[in-house]
Amino acid sequence: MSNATFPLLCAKDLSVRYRVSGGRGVLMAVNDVTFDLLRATTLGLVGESGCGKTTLARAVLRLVPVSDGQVVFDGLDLSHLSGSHLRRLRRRMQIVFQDPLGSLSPRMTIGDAVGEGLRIHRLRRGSAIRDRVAEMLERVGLQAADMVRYPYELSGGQRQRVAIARALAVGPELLVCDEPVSALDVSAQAQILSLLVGLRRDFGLTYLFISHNLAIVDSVCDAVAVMYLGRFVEIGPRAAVFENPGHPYTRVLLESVPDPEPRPRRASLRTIGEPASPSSPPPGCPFHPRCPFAVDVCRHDRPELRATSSAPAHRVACHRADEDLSGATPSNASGITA
Amino acid sequence: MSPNRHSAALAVRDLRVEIRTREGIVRPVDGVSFDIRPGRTLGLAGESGCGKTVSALALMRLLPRGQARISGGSVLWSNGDGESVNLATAAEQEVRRLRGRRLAMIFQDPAAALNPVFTVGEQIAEVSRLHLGLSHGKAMRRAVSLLSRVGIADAARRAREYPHQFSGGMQQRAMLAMALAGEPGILIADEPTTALDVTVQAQIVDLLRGLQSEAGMGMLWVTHDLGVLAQVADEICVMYAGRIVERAGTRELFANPLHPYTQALLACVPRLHRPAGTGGIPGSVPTPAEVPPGCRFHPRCALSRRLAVELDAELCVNTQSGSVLRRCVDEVPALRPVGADHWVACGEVAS
Ligand SMILES: Nc1ncnc2c1ncn2[C@@H]1O[C@H](COP(=O)(O)OP(=O)(O)OP(=O)(O)O)[C@@H](O)[C@H]1O
Ligand SMILES: Nc1ncnc2c1ncn2[C@@H]1O[C@H](COP(=O)(O)OP(=O)(O)OP(=O)(O)O)[C@@H](O)[C@H]1O
Ligand code: SF4
Ligand SMILES: [Mg+2]
Ligand SMILES: [Mg+2]
Repeated sequence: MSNATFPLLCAKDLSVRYRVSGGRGVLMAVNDVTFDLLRATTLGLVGESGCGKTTLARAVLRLVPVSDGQVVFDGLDLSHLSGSHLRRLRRRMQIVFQDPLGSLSPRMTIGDAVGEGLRIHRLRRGSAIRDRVAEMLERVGLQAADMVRYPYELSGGQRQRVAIARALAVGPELLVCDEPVSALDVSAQAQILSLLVGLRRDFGLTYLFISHNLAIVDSVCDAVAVMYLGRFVEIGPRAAVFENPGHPYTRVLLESVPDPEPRPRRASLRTIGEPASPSSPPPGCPFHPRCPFAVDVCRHDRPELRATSSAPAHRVACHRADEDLSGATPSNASGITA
Repeated sequence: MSPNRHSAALAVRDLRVEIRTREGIVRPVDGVSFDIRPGRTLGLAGESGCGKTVSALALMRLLPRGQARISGGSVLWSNGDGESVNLATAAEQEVRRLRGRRLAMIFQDPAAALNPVFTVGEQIAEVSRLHLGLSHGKAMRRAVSLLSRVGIADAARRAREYPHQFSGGMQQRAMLAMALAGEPGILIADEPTTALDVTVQAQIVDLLRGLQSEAGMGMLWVTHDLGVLAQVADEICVMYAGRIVERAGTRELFANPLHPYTQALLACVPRLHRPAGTGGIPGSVPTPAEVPPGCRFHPRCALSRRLAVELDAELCVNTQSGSVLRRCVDEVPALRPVGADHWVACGEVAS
């Protein structure tokens, strides 16, 4: 690839606001997010339910209106593209939606759903469509014979595989995956993940990969971004983030990964305090009400995303990111409880 | 939440489901038995397509009408006071009386289960109005409190929003709140936490455990994720191609998995710092239209293949998937006890 170091996708100061029902308030679902995604790499996106992952994924593809900021795909600023240009670009950037049933039309057979993009973008004709559909179904672990079935005849995991086949059929360069394997058992997960990794290796496919499963993010991503209340609070190379997490929220996430072994029922897993509301985010650091290390400055000033002293590519938004907190006494009563 | 303790139970015996398809009649659930006990959680595990959702829908009598039906077995609901109903055969009206109040379900696909034209709060409130006879105001206040118990911030405002304004994980929790609104004695939960991150998941697990010990709620937790069941289940049934292949207490199952399928499943549970996607079980779950004879797992079974190498040729048979034990192809293994609280359906393990 000639332009391997030229990012395929850049998001700059991206924000998405939703109107809050009743009243004049707004909800900042995505707040000032900036990142570059290099070709043939995978950026993992993790964070609490409701923190804005799906909204960011949709904003990147212009599937929700962007309130502020820019998205640049392969050098083209999407906010300035006309409808027809955007439609042509759509083939090159595909998404696997979080809710597979909702993204499949109930009246379309599996074959029509997977072949739809091929027809719309005139990539194949006649029986070549059928062949491509059959190939894609087999690659995701379904059978060519499943073409004639309807979504309601499939199990949850089978539908998720159809959604993946459909996105891959048109040969995209960027694939945004919103919880692509969460409905799949470990065996099918392994199959899909190795398919995705293979496409990256062989065709330079680039991924924005949302998953709440940290073990999966750990195994497929090159870089990881941690989102909290609409903002990136940490971003960096996978190893740096997982082995040397700089933000207290990232640590909580990593520490709460349940052991896949049964234990005598202890009091509870580690849980953190009350969730915060994105329509009235706290002042200062958005995480401070739940942070065990919060000090005065955290309650008043919002920390910027800054490079850590150990690695410039590893950026953390925390006033205490460069302190060694491993021995620090939690200063916040409502924080982490064991 | 509920002052009255439940002692409802559900005894499922030899449950069978038939579905009419283009390829003819198929049986995605073919002789399944288990018990949901008061205050306990039974886990139902297995790969995608093995029949978990069809089993759960059958218990609730929610199979797609006209296409699928319970073709055998019984689903005996009892409330501990001598009242009991066989849900497999009861009249529709009787089933409707129990559903929502006595037994509730969390569906695998939250978006499809929530009604897009009503606010989330109204939908939750409707359940407690209908089943607990609460007034409109009371039911609404309860809806708000349930939303906040499932970890939704700013619940009073959220209750006035529509499902599409909720994130995926919030929809899943809204559905949980709706299922809990009728204070059911039995909760059938189909992949209730698949969309949730670890911290929220832990909170939900704590909430459900609390309800189980306070109110005696019995639960069936359906999932492909054995890691989750390790945290929540008292007992686990492992399902394969429409049948239960192993059943044991959770700790026993993890410490001493006996069925080759269970062993294979456990071997590929992803862990942090032990990469996912490294293996998976070769082959795939057969569709209900093409279940293999004998032990349905034999085409993928490592044990049968290994024994076929070790044992005499006349005990073996060549199949598409290599040489396996003849017995695995010829005999349907029954679920047999192999120890206290441990059952396995494999001729080789049991002998
Ligand atoms: N169409 C919409 N209208 C109004 N608010 C919305 C809309 N879609 C999402 N939101 C809100 O925006 C916030 C972010 O939602 P989003 O779906 O991006 O979260 P998420 O990180 O994907 O969560 P999950 O892990 O649960 O899927 C949430 O508070 C949600 O309620
Ligand atoms: N209405 C239907 N018509 C035809 N086949 C069906 C129907 N519903 C389910 N099936 C088939 O029955 C089998 C079992 O499906 P089920 O939904 O119970 O799987 P599951 O164990 O819940 O899987 P998952 O983990 O993917 O949700 C699958 O092969 C599925 O394709
Ligand atoms: S800035 Fe302060 S409150 Fe925020 S995460 Fe860091 S220590 Fe905690
Ligand atoms: Mg989402
Ligand atoms: Mg299912």
